[in-house]
This record gives sequence, structure tokens and C-alpha cells, in this order.
Amino acid sequence: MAGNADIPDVPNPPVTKPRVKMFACPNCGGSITLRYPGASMSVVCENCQSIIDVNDENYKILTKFFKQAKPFTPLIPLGQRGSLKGKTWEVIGFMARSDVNSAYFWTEYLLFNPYYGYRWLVEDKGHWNFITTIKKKPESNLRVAGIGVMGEVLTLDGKRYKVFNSGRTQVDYVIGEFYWRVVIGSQTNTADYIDPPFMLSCEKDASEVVWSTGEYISHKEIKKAFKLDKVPDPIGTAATEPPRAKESWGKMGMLWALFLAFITCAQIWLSGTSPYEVACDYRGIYLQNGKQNDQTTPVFTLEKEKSNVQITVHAPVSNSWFYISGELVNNTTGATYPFERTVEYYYGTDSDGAWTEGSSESALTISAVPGGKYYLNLDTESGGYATKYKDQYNLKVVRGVPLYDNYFWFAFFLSILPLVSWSTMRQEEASRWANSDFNPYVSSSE
Amino acid sequence: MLTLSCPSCGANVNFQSKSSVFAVCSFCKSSLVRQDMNLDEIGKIADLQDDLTPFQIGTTGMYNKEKFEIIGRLKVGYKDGFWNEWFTAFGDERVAWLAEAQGFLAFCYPYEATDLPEVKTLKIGQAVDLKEKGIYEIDDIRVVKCLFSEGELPFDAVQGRKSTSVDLTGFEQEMATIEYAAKETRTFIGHYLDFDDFQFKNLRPIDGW
Amino acid sequence: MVRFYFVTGSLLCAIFVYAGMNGYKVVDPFAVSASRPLGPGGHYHK
Repeated sequence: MAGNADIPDVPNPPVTKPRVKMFACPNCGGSITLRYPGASMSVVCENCQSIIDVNDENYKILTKFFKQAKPFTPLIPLGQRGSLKGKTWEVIGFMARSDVNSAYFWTEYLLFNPYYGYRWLVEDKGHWNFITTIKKKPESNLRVAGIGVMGEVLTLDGKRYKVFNSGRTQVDYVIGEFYWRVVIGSQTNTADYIDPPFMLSCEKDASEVVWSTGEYISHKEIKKAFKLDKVPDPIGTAATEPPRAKESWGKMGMLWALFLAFITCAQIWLSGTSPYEVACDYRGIYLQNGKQNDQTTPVFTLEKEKSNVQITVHAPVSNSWFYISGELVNNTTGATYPFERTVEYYYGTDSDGAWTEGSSESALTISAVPGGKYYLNLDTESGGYATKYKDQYNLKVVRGVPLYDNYFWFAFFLSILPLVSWSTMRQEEASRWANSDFNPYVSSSE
Repeated sequence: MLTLSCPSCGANVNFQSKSSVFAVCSFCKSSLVRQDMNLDEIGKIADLQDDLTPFQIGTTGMYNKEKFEIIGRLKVGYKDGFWNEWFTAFGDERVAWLAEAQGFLAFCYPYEATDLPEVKTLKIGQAVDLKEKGIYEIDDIRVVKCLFSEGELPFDAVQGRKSTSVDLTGFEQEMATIEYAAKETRTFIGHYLDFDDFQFKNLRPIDGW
Repeated sequence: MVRFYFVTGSLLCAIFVYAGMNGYKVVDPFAVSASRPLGPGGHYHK
């Protein structure tokens, strides 16, 4: 490891092998190699799996011959070194632990660097967390005696950790060496709290309470760091899996609010500044129950280079209808905008009482009409009248009316991606909390 | 700095701190007690068989932008393990301790505590009032034995010296230690720091790293 | 997705202002569509 930048200032960095210590197993007589005498407290015999107290002059056996029917194989071999978080770590111990009640198990790798001390890698269903034991104690929102209580939130260094799981954990299998006297079957009360990708864990036994912080680390990073041929792909969503969708939703939500605020302001400004100029107010004659073709309005001017045009038709219909078909014609270019409108208004009385239907007025908007001189060609038709008198209809051409259609459409377009993002975030959080004892996403009926 | 000669082998024995009253000759490993300018040999310190630590006498570090140097060590053991207490001196009269256990480092300085509870009455979880330094909670009470000592130290650190070490925590990274020894009770206050915070120099080479 | 949304959203905002200033109806499924009289109740009436 010479020339490694993370090793602190040491005069003439040694390149020799670690000063290991070898002794015979007091149980089976096999040779035991202790990698870090002076740091490790207990070591597991590779032959017979007995756990030896190396601090004891006579190498006392702590747990004898527990041989498991199906031993666990560590994904990272003992003795392997890897660079994580800018430091070199050597795997010196491996444990399998399980929840006493559910028999759910996971594995833990003890990492060592003689300068920086100990760390843990915890592997659960292919998900990895890098764990550091801490001396600080978090603040709890609850004044409770136990650990891992519903609704519990812990605060530490500005992070808020929500209670995720709690239970009783036991050691099922160990190999390697450890800085305490490891005992098979020893149990602790544990509780995990998460603020993804970070976690806070508590282990409590009769004599002490140990707090640790953890951070999610991708299996690819583990593979690269320890130069492994393969590591299993993670299954499901881990408690501390980086909340990508949540972070993305946070940003999307901000943008969403920003865009909506922008188009709202723009809409208010556009509505306030729209000219609403009556360019033509035409009164025409039509024949009740008849047709009247080829009426032409006087030429009128549409101001502005480009704007919308609203045409409003009003006819004194009463249990009758009035139909107008026309075209807005540019006097200069001859460009035409054909349109049709009907106004119809009916009323009467039936078993439910009086009713009315329709209106004597109808409007349409033509978008983006260039400015210039225009006139209208109009044909009218009507029906439902009892008589055949002539009557008067009114047609109004207004330049630049405030419109809200765009506003609602754009608000809708701008909401599609944020809603997708929000629902992705909900799904991610629901699947994260699916493994929790304190799942807030589970409905009360389940 | 005071330089005396070892009454056993004649080698130079340096005292960098005036508060040091005990030293181990770096050549013959005699444990020496200083009274003014006199050194008396009271025994020999047996070598440590397994000793894995990144520190050594002469390692320097920074604390609060001030440089300190390690001038002595006390290694103590208890039933479940051991730790090192490195005696450090700043350039002036001030001294402090760097405690090292399982990779955790705490830097602490002496504090004149008054009205401390009796050692027999102490319980884990008990609150101890350290006056203007605040209230601390007892985390651990351990009966410890001196396993090894080297360099200079402010008390007679002969092998086998027994004491009760009480670890306490305050707010944030704050910690305190009260050591109840046969003759004296000493209190230290400090806090936990990361290895890199100290910018250590002249560390001990570790084989294989 | 955030970057994509930022770009498309900004573009939509720009289009919105441009359309508003020039009187465009961006989505106009009933644009000057033909309509025939239907009569009361919706039956064909001519």
C-alpha cells in the first residue's frame, strides 16, 4: 500500500507485510493467523470455527465448535483491501446476523485501517451500507425509555431520521477477527432510523448503547473498490436507497410552481393589455324563415400586426334559430377566414316546469389574424319563426380579446411531468417503507 | 526542557513538561520517579508483545491551531480490552491527553473538578455536575490496570497501577473522564475528533500499511 | 427528467407569451368549425 495518498504522514512508509501472529487453536490444534495482534480481541479458527479470546494468555475459547450446517460465504473475502470514502479498508471480519423473531438475516463486514479504526459494511439483499460507529448521541422527539418506537424521529447533525425498524438481533455466524469478544447467539436490541441515503442505528445490550451512522453505497462501488469479479444485483428497494425520485420531485415541484406562477403573471399581463377594439359593429337584415345571401359589410381596419379576432352574432331568436355563414376577407390579400355560427333559443314548460335552451348570442374567436383592411361576406338563414317578417341581427368584430384557453392548456401541459414525477416518488417511498415496521404508506384497512 | 541521566544506565532522560514526575528510560526501560533534579529507579517496564497504534513518542498534531507533541504514554487494560492515553505537551506549560481506543480519538485537558461523587456510588447513566463545564452523563465505569508506560508522565505509571476510569459524555462531541486512583482523583474534559482533524506528523509506521 | 422539464417548461412559457401577444390559440380543436342548426333537443332541423 505504499504511495497511497490516504495514508497519513508516516516517515518511510513500510512496504512489508502486516506483522501477523500465528498460534495453534486450543480446540482443534489447527493454525490460526491473527492479522492485527494488539487491536483484535477475538479471532475465529478457520478449521473448527471456534472463537478464541486473543487477549487471554491461554487463548481461551469463547464459543466452541458451533459449526453451521450451511455456512455463509462472504462476498468480499477476508483480507481484501479496498478504497472507500477516500480511505483504504481491509476486511478483517464477517458476521451473519438475524432478527430473532423473523429469522430474517443479513451479513456484516468489519473493515479496519490501523490509522482510522473500524467501519462496517452491511449487506442486505444486495444493498450495501457503510457504517461508522459514533460517540455522539442523537436527540429524540419522544421521551421514551425504549428504542424504536412508533413516530420516533431522531435529530443528529441537522438530519432528521425516522424510525424504520426495531427488533432483537442475534449473531449467527462469524469468521475473521474482531475488536471485542464476539459470541455466537449473543443478542442485542436494535433500531434503525432513516434519512435516505443516510441511516442511524442503535444497538443496546445490558452494558452499553452503541450508536452508528450509515450511508447507502452502491453494489457497483463495492465491486470496484474491492476488485470483485461479481456482486449480486440488489433486490427491491433498500431503506436507505438514495431517494432519487424524491430529490427529482423536489426540483420538479419547484420548477412547476415557478412555471405556473410565470404563466399566471403572463396571463394577467396579457389580459390587462389586450386592446379589445371594436373594429366593426354591423347590423344586417334577415328574413324570418328564409335565406338572405351575399351581404357585405363595409371595409374596416384590424389594428396590430397580429392578434385574435372575436366575432359575436346576436339575433332576436325566440323558439327559433338563426344561422349565419360568412367569411372574413382581407381586402388587400384576399385571404379568407370562413366561419359558421348558429344562434337558437327555445323555451317552454313541461312536467318539471319552465325550461329554456340555447341563447340569442354566439361568439367565435379566430386566432392570429394579421392586421389590415377587412370586410365580411355574409349569408344568413333562419327558421322556426311563425312569420316571414324581416328582422335585424347584429354582428360585432372585436380585435384583441383576452383569452384564457391558452392559460388552461399550458397549465395542463406544464403539469404532466411534475405529476409523473410525484407519482414515481410516491411509488419509490412506498416500496422503501414496505419493509418497515412503521410503514406510513400502509392503509388502515390492511 | 530538563535533561537528567538515568540512574540505571546513564542515558539521557528528557523532561519536556514540568508536570512530569515519572519517566521510562528509552534505553534500559527503567521506570524512574523524579523529585526535583533527582531520579530514582523504581522498577523496569516490560515490553509490550502486541502493540498496534499509529502513534509514538514524538508524534505531533494540531489542536485548536496549536501544535502539540506526544511525550508519554500509558496503556491501560480492563476486562474487555485496552486503550492508550498519550500524554501531550504544547510548547508552553500546558499539557493534555490524547485518548485512543478502537480508532476513536478524544483530546482532553485536565480540569480541577470539585465535589465529585464517591467512586463506589457511581452508576451508568448517572448525571455528574462538572460545575461551569456542565452536566455529564456516565457511559462507562471500568476498573483498569496499567499495562505499559513509556516516555514521561505526570504520575507514577508503574505496570499494574490500578484505577477506576469513568467515561462521561456531554453535549455534541464533548466528553469527560474521571480517573479515581489510589492517591488522587483526576478529571479531564475534551471532545472526540476525527483522525484527520489533528494533521498528525511523525506517526508510527505500521507494517503492511 | 428535471433537466428535460426545465427545458420544455421554459419553452412552453416562451410559447405561451408569444402566443398570447400574437393572438394565437395554441390548442384550438373547434377552430372556426362548421356548425349546422340542430333544433330543439338536438334533432336535425331544416
